[in-house]
Amino acid sequence: MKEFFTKKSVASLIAFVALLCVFAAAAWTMSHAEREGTEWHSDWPVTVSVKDGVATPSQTINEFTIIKEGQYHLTLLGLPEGVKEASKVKTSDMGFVTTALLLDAAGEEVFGNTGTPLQGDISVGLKPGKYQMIFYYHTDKAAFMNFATEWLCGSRNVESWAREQHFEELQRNGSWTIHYEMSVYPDTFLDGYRIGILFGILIAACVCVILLCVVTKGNHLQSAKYDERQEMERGRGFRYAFAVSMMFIGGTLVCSMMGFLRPATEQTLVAFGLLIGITVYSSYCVLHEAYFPLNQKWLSFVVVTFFVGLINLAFVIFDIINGTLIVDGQLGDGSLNLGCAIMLLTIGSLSLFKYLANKRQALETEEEDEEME
Amino acid sequence: MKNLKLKSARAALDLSQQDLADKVGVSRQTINAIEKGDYNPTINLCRAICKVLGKTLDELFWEDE
Repeated sequence: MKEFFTKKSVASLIAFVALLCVFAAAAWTMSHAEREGTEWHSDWPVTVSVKDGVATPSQTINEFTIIKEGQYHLTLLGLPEGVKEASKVKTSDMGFVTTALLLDAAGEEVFGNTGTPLQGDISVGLKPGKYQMIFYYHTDKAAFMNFATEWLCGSRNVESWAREQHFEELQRNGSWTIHYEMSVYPDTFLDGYRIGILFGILIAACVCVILLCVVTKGNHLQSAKYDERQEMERGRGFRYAFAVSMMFIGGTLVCSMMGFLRPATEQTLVAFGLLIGITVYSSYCVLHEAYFPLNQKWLSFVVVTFFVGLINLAFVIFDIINGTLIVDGQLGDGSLNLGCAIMLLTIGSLSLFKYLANKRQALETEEEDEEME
Repeated sequence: MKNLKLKSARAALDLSQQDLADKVGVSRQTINAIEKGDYNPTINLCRAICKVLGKTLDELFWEDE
């Protein structure tokens, strides 16, 4: 019996039970989610020909009806024939740019999107009534800008919209078949799925803890071993890290809400707060020789930390080159890579410094011991 | 305050800090911190150290007047 409960078998059992719990809970909540109202799924091909800068047809229309008012999820994908990923399509492959407009019964725009190819995934509030999804095929930049000014956004943004479409790269003549896929379904369905996943993880965590307690009857599977001084320092490090993290998150969120300072979105600021907390905790533990357990080698950790830190740094460099590190005066999502890189390189550098300092100290102590003898 | 008694008792047995740390199941830095007086060990760790060095608690951890 004892042989059966090896580390690997227990880990596999826990992973299996956790997955089972997540899928079971997701399936249960999805089946119980409110799905009355409307679900609309459709896929269809459209062949568009371009001759002398004129697209035929110039537009296509698809209609669907919503019975119950509520929040809906809308997904839309339009890919040229034979292409499976949107990222594989270039503007230069096509002779036109598509714009999708979702109009309500009164002809008001609910949702608009444009691009080559077309890809959308949004949540929209829909009222009962008929809706039209109209696809326009643009071949001319000036005409597109007029259309975009009227429908897609204010005139201020039209230039950037048009620039993103790369009209100058369009193939002028030819015939292309586009396969469209569109789904409209109540958000409650998705909420049910998310809640299911959340509950599944919660149940899985509880089951795992119970399993671990039953199987190990103690601490046999704990791989990291710390001595009493290390445990004490780790506790102290946690307190400092928690305080710094809370002060950062609280301070920046208050400044952000009051409009004094808004260096990034609130989600990014919270993530930065957590990264700062981890950095403080890890640095404190490394400096007080409480980061590495008694049974772990330092050097392998340092190598992995530097490696992952440098990968994050590479992402940051790509962001800087592409100009996406700072967007509209705010740090973009890629800035988290910068936070991770700083955190990992700080921990790696401190670990290396401590490793070398400890080696030197051990030699000095040995010399002192010899002198004492 | 430095614990020179512990240091000399360890050196007398020709044990390095790492050797003593391995025998009592702590890190070398913890032994170093005790010897330097930066850390006050629990009674359990004191007893473990005394057993390995063959000394009493008084001999290693009681401060002289």
